[in-house]
Amino acid sequence: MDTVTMSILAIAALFAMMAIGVPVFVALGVSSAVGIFLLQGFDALSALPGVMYDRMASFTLVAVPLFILMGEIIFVSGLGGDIYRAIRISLHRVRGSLAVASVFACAVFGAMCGVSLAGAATIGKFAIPEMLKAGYAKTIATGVIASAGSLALLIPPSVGLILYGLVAGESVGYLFIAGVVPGIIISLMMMTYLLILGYVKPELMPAVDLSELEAGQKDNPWVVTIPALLLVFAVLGSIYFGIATPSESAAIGCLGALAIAAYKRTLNVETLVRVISDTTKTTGMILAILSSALVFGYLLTRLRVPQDLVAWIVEQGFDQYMVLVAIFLLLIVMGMFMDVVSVILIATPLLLPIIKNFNYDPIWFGIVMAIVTEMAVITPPVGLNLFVIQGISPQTSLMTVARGSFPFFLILVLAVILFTIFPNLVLWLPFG
Amino acid sequence: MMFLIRALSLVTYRVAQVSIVGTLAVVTGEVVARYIFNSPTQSSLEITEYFLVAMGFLPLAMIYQRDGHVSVDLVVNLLPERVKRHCLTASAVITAIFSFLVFWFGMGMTLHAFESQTASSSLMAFPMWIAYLPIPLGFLALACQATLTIVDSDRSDVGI
Repeated sequence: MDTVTMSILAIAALFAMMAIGVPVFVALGVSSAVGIFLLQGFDALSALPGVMYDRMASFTLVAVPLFILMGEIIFVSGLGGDIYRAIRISLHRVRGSLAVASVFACAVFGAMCGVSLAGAATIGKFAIPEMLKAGYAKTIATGVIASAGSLALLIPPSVGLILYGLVAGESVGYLFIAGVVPGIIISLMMMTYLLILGYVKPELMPAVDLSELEAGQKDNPWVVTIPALLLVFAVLGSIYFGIATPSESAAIGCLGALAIAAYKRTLNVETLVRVISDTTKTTGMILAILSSALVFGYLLTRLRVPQDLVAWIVEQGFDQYMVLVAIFLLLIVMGMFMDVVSVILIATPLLLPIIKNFNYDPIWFGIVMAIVTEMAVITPPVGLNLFVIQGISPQTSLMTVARGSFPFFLILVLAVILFTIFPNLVLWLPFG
Repeated sequence: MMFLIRALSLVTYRVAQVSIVGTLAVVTGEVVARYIFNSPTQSSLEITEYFLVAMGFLPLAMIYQRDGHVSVDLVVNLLPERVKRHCLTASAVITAIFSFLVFWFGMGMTLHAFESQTASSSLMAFPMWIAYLPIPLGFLALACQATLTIVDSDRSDVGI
């Protein structure tokens, strides 16, 4: 059997197993095992645990459980609510203030937490009921949180960027720094859209009455957010100035988050046990997919699939923009049916050689891929953030959340086009 | 038997939880040692890598038991209930076979490291069989847990 047939068989087996509900990490592992068996026979399967161990035992990856732990602590600390309230008080004169404040709060929360669900769930818990009470349209109230929550995938510390860095062999520190400017630009684009919408269609976002707030709260709304801002600065600053590695800054972040939660008296033994349990579950789930994806990547390399794919594209003489559009569409379609971690881990070893062949920077591609995965979490049928928001606001249908997210999906498309035309917007901070 | 399988899942899960706390403690200790006392340790990097392997493989069974592994259920949910049940059983069978395969080869790798007294090349000279052990242990627990799922689905099929 030739390698092309083996590659097609392995990839077909992967998708067939995923279609019948086999866990993604098992599907990846089995298709890798089938490929290795066809290529080198049964005894070669002894490479499976060896490859898993060699690629997993990496200090870079230590940042994953630690950033997840930090996010879980922040999640229970109540900081999300503090940030949201401070911003919405400061912006209360602006039409659409609650929605704009939600985007702002999700962006700040994203800078403390590496997964999109936590941001959407934390800020959404406070913001959605308040927006609905203020008379905001359901599509706006839910769509804005689902979409802005996804900013955590791009704004460092992002777990997705760590995984991409590991598979692509790129510096996680550079990826984190490269995510800052695009994260700010996309947040500003979302806020600008909401401000314009607030003036064009004021009935969708009525003015807010802040009379129920106590005087003290109005005077110094930002005081409560100082610990959060210090934490963001400590984590990102230590990486940017080269003081600490991402794993070390994650440990610093965990300690800071623990201190904040202890100060706010939101931490007790029961909460701490739950935090560690949730971290174990999320970490195990992500590392399981990663270990199998690394074996799958090993198989693809042995079968020379990425090299053959690049050679085929060069042979066909496709235009580079056409290839880029095809790659983005493929990522969006994958994201419609798979979770973000799987998309990044399966697509990176296949697509990165093509990207490098067209002389695009791998750091740039990591950031653009993160933006495309942001689209994935707000796109039905498997948009995780849509489900989270529906969980917070059960009276809202999934389609309402998806409809509310659609304008933000277009904003993300616009952002991808912007960063493709001007890649330096992504690259100047890490390399400038 | 069922008790043993559940106990294995729980014990491996607890060790993974301890590994997370251990990782935080070791990395924090390294930060303090390096930046405050200016004397970096030789071993923290290596220890965290062993913890990471434990975190990745030991909780597999418990996460499976709690239905926490990522899977694409879109197609399955569209199928009739009977076909859906068959798909879930097939999924458990595939999971059990794959896990047993990795357990088998992982155990071989671990035993080989034990017999040959392989140690890490660092100053720690850490016994590698301990570092490898989470792989066969985690997948053994998962193979058992998946087998339990198959047996359970079989029972529900015949109305037990």
